[in-house]
Amino acid sequence: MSAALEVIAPGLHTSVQDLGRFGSQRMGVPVSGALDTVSLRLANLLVGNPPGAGALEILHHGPTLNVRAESVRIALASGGEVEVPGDYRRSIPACRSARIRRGEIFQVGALSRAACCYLAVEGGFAIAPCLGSLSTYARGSLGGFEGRALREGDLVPLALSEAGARAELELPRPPTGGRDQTIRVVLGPQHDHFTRRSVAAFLAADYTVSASADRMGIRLDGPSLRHNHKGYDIISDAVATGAIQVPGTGQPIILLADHQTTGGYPKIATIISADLPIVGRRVPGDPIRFTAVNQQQAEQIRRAQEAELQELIRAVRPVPAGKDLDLDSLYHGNLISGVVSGDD
Amino acid sequence: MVTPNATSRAIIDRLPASGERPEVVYRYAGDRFILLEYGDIVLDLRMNFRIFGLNDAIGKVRIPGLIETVPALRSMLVHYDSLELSPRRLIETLKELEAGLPSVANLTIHSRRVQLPIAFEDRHTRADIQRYVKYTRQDAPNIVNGHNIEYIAQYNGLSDKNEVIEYICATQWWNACIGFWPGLPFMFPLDPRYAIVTPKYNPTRPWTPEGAVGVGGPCVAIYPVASPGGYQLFGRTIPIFDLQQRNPAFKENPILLKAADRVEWVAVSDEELEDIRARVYDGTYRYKIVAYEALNVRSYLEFLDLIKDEVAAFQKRQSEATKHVPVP
Repeated sequence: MSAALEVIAPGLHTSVQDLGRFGSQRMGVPVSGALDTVSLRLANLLVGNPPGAGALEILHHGPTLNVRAESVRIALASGGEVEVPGDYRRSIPACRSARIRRGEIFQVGALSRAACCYLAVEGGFAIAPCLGSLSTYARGSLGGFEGRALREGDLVPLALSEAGARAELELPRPPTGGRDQTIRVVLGPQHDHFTRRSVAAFLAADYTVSASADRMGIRLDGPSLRHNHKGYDIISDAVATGAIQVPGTGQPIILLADHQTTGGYPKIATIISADLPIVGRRVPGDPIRFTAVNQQQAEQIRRAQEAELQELIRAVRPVPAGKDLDLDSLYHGNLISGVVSGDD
Repeated sequence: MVTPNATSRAIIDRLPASGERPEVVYRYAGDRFILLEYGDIVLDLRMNFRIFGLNDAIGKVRIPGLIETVPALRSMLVHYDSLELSPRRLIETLKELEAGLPSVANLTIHSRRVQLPIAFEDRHTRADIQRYVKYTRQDAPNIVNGHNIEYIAQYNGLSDKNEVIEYICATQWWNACIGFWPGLPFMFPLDPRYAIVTPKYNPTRPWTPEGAVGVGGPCVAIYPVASPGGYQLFGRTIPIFDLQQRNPAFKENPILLKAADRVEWVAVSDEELEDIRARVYDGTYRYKIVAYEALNVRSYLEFLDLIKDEVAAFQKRQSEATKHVPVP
C-alpha cells in the first residue's frame, strides 16, 4: 500500500493549503491558500520542503493521524504541539521537525494562542494540483484532498514512504506578531464612500473578532460605520485579500483567503500584506485595532518583515543533542543518555 | 505611524477623459493591488469592452512582477509583487497601455459563441421555488403559478411567459465578467430591445438547482452549483462547471464559460434537457462552442444606433408596467 496519513479524527477544520491559487480569479475561483503564510513557509522549511508546498492547515483544534508509511518527518508552525502517545510517548513542540514511525498515532490538540497552525510533511502530499494549486476551497469543493476538509478515515497520500536521513531542525524562536499588535491598513480603495467621521472612527475604534470568523472572512464587532451620499451599493468589482468591506449594516468584514472574487460593497481599507498572517491567527474575542499607513510604508514594512523572516530562516539549527528523542536512538540502546539524563 | 490625512487620498492617479476615451481612475487596494476603473459609476457595456481591450494589451506585454489581473464590469484589479514592481512603475505602464489602446469603437474582442440548451420552467427550478413557498415565504409576489417566469413577464410589461421566452432567446448574452462563484457568468443582453430586468428575491432563496438560469437587475446568471440565490429563475441549462471533468468540454478546465463569451439560448423541452444532461455526464454530448469569432464594437455600436427608438419604446413599456407590479 502506498504511503499515507490515516485520519483517526479530523480536528475542527483541517485542510491542505499552499500559498494560494493565482491566475484563476478571473474565472471566479478564490485564491484560498494559508491564512498564515509565514507559518506555512516555516513549517515547510523545517522539513526541507519548498516554502510553498502544500501542508495541513489546522484551525482551532488539530487532527489525530496514524502513520501509514515507514516513517514521516513532520513539523508544526508556529503554534500548537504534536503529542505522540503510545509506547514511546513524547511531545514535539512547534517549530521543530521530528520523525514519526509506522503505526504511531500522533495528534495536535486544541490551539491555545492562535486560530491556525500548519503541519508540514517532508516531501509533501501526493495530491494532484487543481488549477495550479493544492489549496482547498471547501465551499467550492475544489482543490486539496477531495475538495474538502479532512474526515475520519481519509488516507491522505504522502509523496515519500520514508523520512530522509538527516538531523532534525528547529527554529530558535517563533515569528513575531502578537495578539495585541495593531493591524496596519492602507485606506481604500473606496474610503471615499464613507463619512470622514466614520473613517476616523474606524481608525480609533477597538474592534473584536466576532464568532463569525472563518477562512472566508472575519466579521468585526464594534462601532458601525456610515456611508456617505455615495451609498453602499457599488458596481461589483474584484476584491483584494485583506480588504475590509462594509455592507449596509455598517459592520466591517475582513475578507480572508477564501473570499469571493467579486463584491458589491465599498471597501474602507485593505490590510497590508505583512499583517495578513497576523490577522489570520486571531481568534474570536481577540481585539483588533487599525492604524493607517501609506502604500510606501506598507511596502517597507513588508520588506522588513521579509528580512526578519530570512534572518529567522538562517538561524534554523539542528536540534541540540538530548532534546531530540528519536526512536532510532531508542532502538539502538542510547535510551539511557537520551531520556534519563536528558537535559531538558 | 502617520495621520489619516497623509494617507487619505482614495484616488492615487487618473487619466482625464479625452475624445472617446473615458476617465481612468487608479486606486490603491492595499500594498499589492491597484484597482483601475473606467468612466462613471454606471453600467455601460462599452466600459466593459474597454476592460477586455486593456486586459488583452496587458497580456501582450511582459510586466515583470505582475501576478494576475481580475477584470470586472467596469474595473480591473491588478495584483503585483510589490517586492519586484513599484506601483508607480505599474501605473505608468498601465497609462502607456491606455495611450496605445484603440478607442472602444475600434476594438475587436475575441468572443466565443456558446449555444446552450435551456428548458424553461423546468421541473428542478419549479421544485426549489415550491420549497421556497412552503418553507420561506408563502406570499412572495414574484412567484405566480409556482414559478418566477410570469412575474418576469408582469414586471417587464410582456404579455405572458411565452413572450419572456421569446425575449430571452432573441438576443445573445454577453458574459461581462465571472465572479461570486467559480464559473458563474454575469451576462447582459447585447440587444437592449430585449433587456428584461427584475428585482431580486426577498428574502433570499435557500435553494437553487445546479444549472438554473435567472435574472436579477439587468443581469442574467447561470448557477454553476446548487446554492442559495436571489435571482428570478426562468429555466435550467446544462452543466457549466464540472470538477469531475466528465465531458470533453471540461478537459482543459472545469469551468466552461470565459469572460467575453456570448451565450445563445436554444429552447428545449424538460425531457430533452434531462436527456442532454445525461449525455453531458456520459461524455457523449458535444458542447456547441464556436471558438473563432469576435465582437466588432464599431458594428455593434452602429447596430445600437439603428435600434435606439425600439429600445426607448421597450423601456417606456417596461417602466409603465413596473409601476404596477409589487417588489418582493
